[in-house]
Amino acid sequence: MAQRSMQMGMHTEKLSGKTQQRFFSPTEEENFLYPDGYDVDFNKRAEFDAGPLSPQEINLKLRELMGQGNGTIVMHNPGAKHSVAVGLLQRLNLHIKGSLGYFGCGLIDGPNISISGRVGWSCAENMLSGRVVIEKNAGSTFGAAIRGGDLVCKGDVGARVGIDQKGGTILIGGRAGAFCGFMMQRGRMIILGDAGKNLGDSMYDGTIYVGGKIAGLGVDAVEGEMTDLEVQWLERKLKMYGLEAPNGVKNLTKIVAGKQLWNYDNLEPTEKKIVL
Amino acid sequence: MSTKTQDVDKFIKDAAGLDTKREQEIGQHIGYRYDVNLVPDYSRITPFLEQYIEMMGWDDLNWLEDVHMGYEEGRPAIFDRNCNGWVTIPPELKLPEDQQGRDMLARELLIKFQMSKKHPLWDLKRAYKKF
Amino acid sequence: MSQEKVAPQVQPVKKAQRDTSRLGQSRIFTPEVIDDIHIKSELGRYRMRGFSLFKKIPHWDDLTFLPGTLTRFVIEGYREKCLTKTIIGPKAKRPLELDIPVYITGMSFGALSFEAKIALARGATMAGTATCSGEGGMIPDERRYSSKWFYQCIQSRYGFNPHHLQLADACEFFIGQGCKVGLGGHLMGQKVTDQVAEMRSLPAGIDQRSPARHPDWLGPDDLALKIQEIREATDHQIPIQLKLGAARVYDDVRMAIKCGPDSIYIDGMEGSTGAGPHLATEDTGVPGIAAIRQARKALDDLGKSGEISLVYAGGIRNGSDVAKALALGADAIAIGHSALMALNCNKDVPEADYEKEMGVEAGYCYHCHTGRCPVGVATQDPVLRKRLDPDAAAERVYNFLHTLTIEAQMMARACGKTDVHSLEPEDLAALTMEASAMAMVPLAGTQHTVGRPDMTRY
Repeated sequence: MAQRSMQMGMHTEKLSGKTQQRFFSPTEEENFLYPDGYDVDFNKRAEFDAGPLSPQEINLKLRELMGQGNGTIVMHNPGAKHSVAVGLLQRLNLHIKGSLGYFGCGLIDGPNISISGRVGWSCAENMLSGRVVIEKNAGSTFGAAIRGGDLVCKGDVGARVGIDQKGGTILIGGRAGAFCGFMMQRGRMIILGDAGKNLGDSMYDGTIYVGGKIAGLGVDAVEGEMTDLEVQWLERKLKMYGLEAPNGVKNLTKIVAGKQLWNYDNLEPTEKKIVL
Repeated sequence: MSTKTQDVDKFIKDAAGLDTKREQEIGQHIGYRYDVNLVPDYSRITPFLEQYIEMMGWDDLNWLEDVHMGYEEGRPAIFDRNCNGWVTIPPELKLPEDQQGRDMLARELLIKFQMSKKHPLWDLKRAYKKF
Repeated sequence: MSQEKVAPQVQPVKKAQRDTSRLGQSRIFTPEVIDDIHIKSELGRYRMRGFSLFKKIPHWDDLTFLPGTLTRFVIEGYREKCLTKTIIGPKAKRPLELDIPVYITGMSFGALSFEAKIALARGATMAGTATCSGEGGMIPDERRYSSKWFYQCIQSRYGFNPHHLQLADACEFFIGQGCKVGLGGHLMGQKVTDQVAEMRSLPAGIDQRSPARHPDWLGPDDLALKIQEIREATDHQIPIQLKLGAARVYDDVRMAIKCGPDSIYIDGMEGSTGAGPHLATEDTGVPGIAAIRQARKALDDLGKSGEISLVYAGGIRNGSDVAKALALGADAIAIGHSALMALNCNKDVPEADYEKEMGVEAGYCYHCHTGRCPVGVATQDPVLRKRLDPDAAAERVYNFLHTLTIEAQMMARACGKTDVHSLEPEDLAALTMEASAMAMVPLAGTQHTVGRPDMTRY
């Protein structure tokens, strides 16, 4: 591997004067495909039985089918195995008929995934983009550290949903456990049912909308005011996934960061900038 | 912090953005230079973005809902998480008058850049990707 | 007008008046302790700083080599081969092969400048060894210039990107660090620029305290599954390393082994940080000489030596420290702070005015957390960053890595080894009772290993 980078001259370029500044080129091509992604066709469909396969074999099978140009894949009998459908970094329609174990659909960027059953802990963790829709319930740390995309659970979820959330939308049709949105940084979380205690604890930013009762807010989580634009956006988002707010979108409780924890250190004299 | 984002050109006119005493003491603007919680106004969506959404098989902007136009050292720029840097908008490009319009432009430019072979990730994947 | 040259007057040294009525001074409430209490009484918070611990602990200087004389055959110091090739994760599909037993540990872009990161990358590449992304994500140029590169999966997951994970030659799970075991990372607002902030999906200028726990797993059972997930995302190709701060090392390493990694990295309490509470750096963790022995024992007891690599970092200053750590049981060594010193940390370069800009003399600076690094290493300030020429700095990093290697080879050859990895505890003796007890090697000149009657020969 080092050989290839060496041939590409990466280890002999002059470093001085290098900058990180980059410019958009107005003549940039329209490609709609990550340069190393498989070129798949949504109308080309494949099905396979994951029952006898190990998680590694399932993930290899998915890559093999995408390599053949299949843009729609149906997986049967995933058997609640862990780390299934992990690391999918491109457009794909994946229908999973059954339930997943821990870390299902983790580290993905782009695919549309529907899961007819349940999911274990840390589903879709660190997702960058795409959609994951779960018809039944989900375990704890659902959508941990996600950075983008829509993650939807139509049933109830465990604790610590959207912990360290960095973007995207997490949508819960039912109830959620304690510490949801812990250290949330950005993005939106919608809990249509009740939310457990310490909601939004130590959140830096982002927004949480709750339809049911809130057992308690965490440190530095405060109520915010809903805007008309948010109402429109929420109505559109819920409609997309066939969900409804129990008392209407306008009556969702909005939780935001109080931002009191952003800078709670007073400065020592040596920590102040001296103008150079 | 929200008052800072009201003037859409604030950080073009004032690159440093050091208003508060603490900002001056640490020599660093505190907070975002755009409204990070602003949800997109779908009435402003562009044909290019509609084409992208259709291609991906989504019904809305998905991850692009979190993409906004920001400002680096007084220049309008967009942050690309795949190269972990602000990508500067060419000065000849006319900016829309409001943040919603600018955000839509940012989304278009970012998609084109990320999908391009000029993106830094392209060379890196050729050099270092193993499978 | 010629001016007569006059020799400068020698200033007579004033003899200090000794206060003969004074009883003495406290070794517990020293002037520094008293000043610290005064400052904290004003601040109302713990004090942050960079660097490593200040207090004296048993460490590498308390061990000495027992080279060959008549009882052992020595290797010709400057001519005969002494191998240095180092493998991390021998059981992985693509083990990480280093030309030397030392690599550059993870230090974030944010804590360090862009120039420092690319200089470390190039310097390590020149020496045939690896670097690591550290917290906060990959900067493309660091990956570009590093021929061998670890991608860190850290608690905060700042900037974690599966596209970048696919580029890695190894993935390191950061679970703790020796300097502040049990705490997450720190980056003060002064260094959280717009770029650093966006990489981490945070607002600029805030005091950033990273989580201490991973978001998606809580204990070793979950971690085993998390490792499996990363293996799936990387096609089971690259080694997975777990980085632990040294605390209950024997038990921690046994639990880490159970999780199925390819490598375990132990960070001794001598390790440094770019920012952390002063008290955490002083009062958490255990020294490297104890940690390595405990870790190796855990690997031996579970029959995993030779399958799972053991990496050590913390307080490594020279090739002798490298050789001692290898002798105690490490397979590879990672360095952080000493590599920054190779970049220029605490050097009185002409462009810098330490006393004016930092309020301390060069050699005494521990103010990495302020972002005002006078030599452009631990800063994001564009004016200060210009003081670091990355090409020259890369050469220095290479020279230092090379020196560490040849110094370690020198010690290995003197002890009769043709491979630095053949060094063993038997090659060492302790200079203090504490070091003997911790490193489990005999006190110099005796056959007595403190606390280990089973290892003592009379």
